[in-house]
Amino acid sequence: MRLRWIVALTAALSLGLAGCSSQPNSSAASGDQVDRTIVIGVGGEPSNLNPVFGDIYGSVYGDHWPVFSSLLDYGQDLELQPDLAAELPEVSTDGTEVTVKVRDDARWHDGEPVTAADVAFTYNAILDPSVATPVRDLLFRSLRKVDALDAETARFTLHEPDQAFLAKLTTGIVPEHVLAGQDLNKAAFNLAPVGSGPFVFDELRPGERIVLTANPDYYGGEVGLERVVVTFVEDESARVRQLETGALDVDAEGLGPQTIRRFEDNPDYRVVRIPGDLLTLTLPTTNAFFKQAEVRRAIGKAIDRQQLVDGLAAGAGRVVSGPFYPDHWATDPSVSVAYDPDAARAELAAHGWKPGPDGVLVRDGERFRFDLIYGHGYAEDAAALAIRDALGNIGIEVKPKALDYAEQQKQVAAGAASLQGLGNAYDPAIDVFDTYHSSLSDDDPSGNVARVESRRIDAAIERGERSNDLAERTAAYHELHRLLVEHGSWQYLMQGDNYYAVRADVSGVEPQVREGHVHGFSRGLLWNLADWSVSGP
Amino acid sequence: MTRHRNHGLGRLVARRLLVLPVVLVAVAAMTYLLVAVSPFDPMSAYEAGSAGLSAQAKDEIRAAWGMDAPTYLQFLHWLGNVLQGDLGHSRLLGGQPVLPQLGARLAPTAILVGTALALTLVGGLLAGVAAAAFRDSWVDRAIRGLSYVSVAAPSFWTGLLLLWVFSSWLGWFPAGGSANLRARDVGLVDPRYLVLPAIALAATQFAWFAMFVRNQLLEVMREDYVVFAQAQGIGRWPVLLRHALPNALLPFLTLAGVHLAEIVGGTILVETVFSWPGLGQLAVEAARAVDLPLLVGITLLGSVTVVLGNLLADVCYRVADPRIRESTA
Amino acid sequence: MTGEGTPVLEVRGLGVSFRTRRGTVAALRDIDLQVAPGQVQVVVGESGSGKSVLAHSLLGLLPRNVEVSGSVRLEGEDLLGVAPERMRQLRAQHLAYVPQSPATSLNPVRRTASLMAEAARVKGVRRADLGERLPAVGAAVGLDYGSVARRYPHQLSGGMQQRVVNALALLGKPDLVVADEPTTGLDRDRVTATGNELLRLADEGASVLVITHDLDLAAALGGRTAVLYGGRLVEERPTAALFTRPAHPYTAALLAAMPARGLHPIPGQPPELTDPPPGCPFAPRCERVRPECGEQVPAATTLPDGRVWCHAAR
Repeated sequence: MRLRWIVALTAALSLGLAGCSSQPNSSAASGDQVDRTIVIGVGGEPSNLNPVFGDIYGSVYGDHWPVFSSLLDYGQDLELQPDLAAELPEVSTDGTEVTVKVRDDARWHDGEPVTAADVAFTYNAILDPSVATPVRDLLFRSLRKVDALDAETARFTLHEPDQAFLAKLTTGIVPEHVLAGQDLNKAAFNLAPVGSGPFVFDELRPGERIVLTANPDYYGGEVGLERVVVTFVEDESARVRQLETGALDVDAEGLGPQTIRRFEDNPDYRVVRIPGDLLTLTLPTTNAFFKQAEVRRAIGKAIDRQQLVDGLAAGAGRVVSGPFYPDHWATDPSVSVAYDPDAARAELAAHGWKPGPDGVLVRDGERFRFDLIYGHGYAEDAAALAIRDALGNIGIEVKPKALDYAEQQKQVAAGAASLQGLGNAYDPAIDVFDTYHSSLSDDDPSGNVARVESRRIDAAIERGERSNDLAERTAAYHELHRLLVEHGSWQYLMQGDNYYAVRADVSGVEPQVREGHVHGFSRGLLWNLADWSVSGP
Repeated sequence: MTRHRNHGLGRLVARRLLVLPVVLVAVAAMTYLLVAVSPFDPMSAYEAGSAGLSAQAKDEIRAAWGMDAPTYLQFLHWLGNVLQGDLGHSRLLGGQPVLPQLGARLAPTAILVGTALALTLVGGLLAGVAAAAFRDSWVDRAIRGLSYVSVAAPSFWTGLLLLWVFSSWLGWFPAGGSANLRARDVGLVDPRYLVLPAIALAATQFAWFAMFVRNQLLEVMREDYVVFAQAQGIGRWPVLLRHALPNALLPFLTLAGVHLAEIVGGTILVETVFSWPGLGQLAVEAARAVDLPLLVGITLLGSVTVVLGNLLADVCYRVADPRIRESTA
Repeated sequence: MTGEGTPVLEVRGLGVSFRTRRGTVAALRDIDLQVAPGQVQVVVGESGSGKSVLAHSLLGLLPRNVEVSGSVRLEGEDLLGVAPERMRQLRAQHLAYVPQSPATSLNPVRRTASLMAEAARVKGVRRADLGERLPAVGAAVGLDYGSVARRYPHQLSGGMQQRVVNALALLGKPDLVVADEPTTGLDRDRVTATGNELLRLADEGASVLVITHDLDLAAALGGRTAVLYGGRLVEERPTAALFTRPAHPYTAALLAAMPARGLHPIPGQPPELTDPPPGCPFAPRCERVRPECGEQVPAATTLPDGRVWCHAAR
């Protein structure tokens, strides 16, 4: 399940105070001892550096920060490739056993060899109910146990076949010899980790920076950067200032579409753009206004998606029609949703909604008026207001309500319409069941928030999950795409881009093709950090 | 006299220090209570980062962190651990023990607060004395004007202005942080990085203190003993500094505690604007994440600071004013 | 006025008025006064008559919102309009001030020794001589310096505070000591003692100008007495003569109001300084009032032993 309140639309007001002039690298010239160091700015301070607890930013895919290595890994085009695994894993014919060979040349940063026992230790730690990790529930419900058959072979035993399981083998592997017998929740390792990846953890200066140094014994070859400093700067305008004064080389948190403009024409910087989350509007079927699919679809027709792209993403995003990224194999390219407010009005009129004296639709004395729930934020406000205006145009009164997470959960579970960010760059099987399967349509707000209850949709989800054949799976997800558009309880609106600024003297920056979420220093922009280098100090 | 004074001060200090643990337990209980009655739940704060956890997973995580017990039991458990010197473990800080983590993070904030305090006192004193000495002149008007502006300007605004002028524009000071990010083996903080945030933080209290000194001085200048000192032919500056000023500053010591608390609170905004790696930012994070052991730890640290600051001010007050000194004996 | 040598203090036509929001208030008008070396000059008057303003005028301690006219000469040097630094030197070297309330006039946060040493240094005592000079000046006013040196003002009795103040006055060997209501709030015994201490200052060679409302003190001090009413002088004569044969009706009424003389109150109220009567300030209350009293301020009439400002005295 990969559903987040829209945080990926990183449009934010730059205070515009920074930078009448820039002094590149002024701080480097001040006499301190400096190296060929790269300084990367991210938003927040990680609360845990141990991959057993998931992404160091609290989400589940950011398993690949470069102190650690994982069995498998995504390449630039998001294709799975072996990392610690010697080759792609072997899946048994019934799909319940996955066998992985661990490469024999990988060593921990303390010199010990990486073995299958470490692999088993890592995944069994995740499965241990006393370990407070969300990953167990979010990713590994299908996993029963892991055994080290010998020093080089690990076998995963599943409760049931899981098409997305290989995509989950990207969790960083932790060293058993360091952690065995410890309470993982409180291990000192969590803030002073030992890994086997291209960079060695050097130092965490609380509230300020993590310092990594190149791993000279990395099995993956020579590491280009001598030293990586990751610094935590939450405020966007502060990151911009630090970029422009040369204190930062890279903004890996993402800058808003307005802010990024100041770097676009500047030869000292390179602007990196990576497609981000989908902006969606949910219209739960349990809400009296949204009972009929025709009404839900009419609402979808009233929203000019291209206008949203122009307004919210400064024209640099794209219109989407369905639940998957537009260039993903699961997307059916033939589907589109037309903007047709007249048809929307007619459809609503056919369902008894007629304009009242003030233009708002009325049926049996009831006004068409609903709350729109969303999370706090400038970009979120802008999106909610755009929806309000679009629907106001056909006589539906929308009241945007920015709430904190717990309150959002409550209201959405009670059937309120909401703005959701949706993004899964990987295998659809990872999240479509949780998001759309009728078995999760209940009062628990953790799954199927729009209360989609359709046998045909359930069947398409199950087909896509069960099959091993890509053509069959593609057909299943294309059908799911069409069925969801027809259902109308999710209105897929647009995909914004994430923007990153990198100093021009950094080379090797080849971002992955997609990344739905801002992951700080894993994936997306920084997936190949080990290949980067800097030409100057 | 000396014997009496020490006796009185000793009792004052002993009394306050005896009360301190009671105050701290009360503050901790209050924090637990507030969290218990607030709509914020550690689990939903946790979930905001990783949505869609099943009820079972939530229960497991709650149990792992001891959050499954009722709040009052959590508090009693915490209290029991505190008696053994254990302030608990913080989810936000990799499950590490709160006390050593706070210790490591205290230094930058303490340096910032200390510098800002010194700037406030020295700057406010100089400005206040100058304004009073040249009452109604352009000096006085300029200082009063500056004070009104700095009272009205929120600290983040002052901070941004300072950054814009002295960092982005003039390039004299770095644009945030506490040390050169490229440098190795940096000390606690780099003084060049300290200047702007310390000024921004000091600016929140400077105006108050400068105007306090000025008005208090003008008030005291009318006192009999100041007129008498003048009548003896003592010069203008000695009268101002040696006769009027010590008396003018006495009431400040009774107010210092309140303003110390304001400075400590002010670090939250200033640390955010200047990316200063301190407790202010961590406090915000702890509150957002409803990380109770960390939140309580920071609250207690703040309480200890304010209580000890007040005590120090009271001790100074008694040492500085011989009349009070006597009566506490 | 008796002319024994050059006067230490010569006040001519002194007028002091305050600018207030409600207009100008004339606190003193046309004051003429001379004090000869070694002389004790008393100025008596009720509260509101302008006594303290007179004391502050002589020391250059008037507030900022005043207008001053006339002249005040100390040893021939005009104090009005003198540069602030020169005024400070004059205060340090030629003038001494005995304030109204010793209890509030000693800085509460300074020890006696510190206050006395600072004053002594300002008044030209060398640092090396302090150890000798401070006990000596204490002894001159009946103060045991050793027992008060380490104490703070609030730890001294009222009598000791008074003596500290007197000792401070003597430190610089002043030409003129100005005492402003030195007996306010003191009991009878202390009034007598204070009178004696002021006389002792005069014995040390200083002229002493005592400003008071206390007629008993005036009588005890002797010398000459000037009577102030409504911001103007009404009579100035030797103290003994003034007490036995007052020349001005106000002086006579003041004496009659003394407890020892039957406590006869003066009918009416003192004049409003914001709205003074056009003629003699005492005219509205005077038993011997004449038509011209209400129209014209009386000029000074020279008597054999002094002056009186009264139409009836002509």
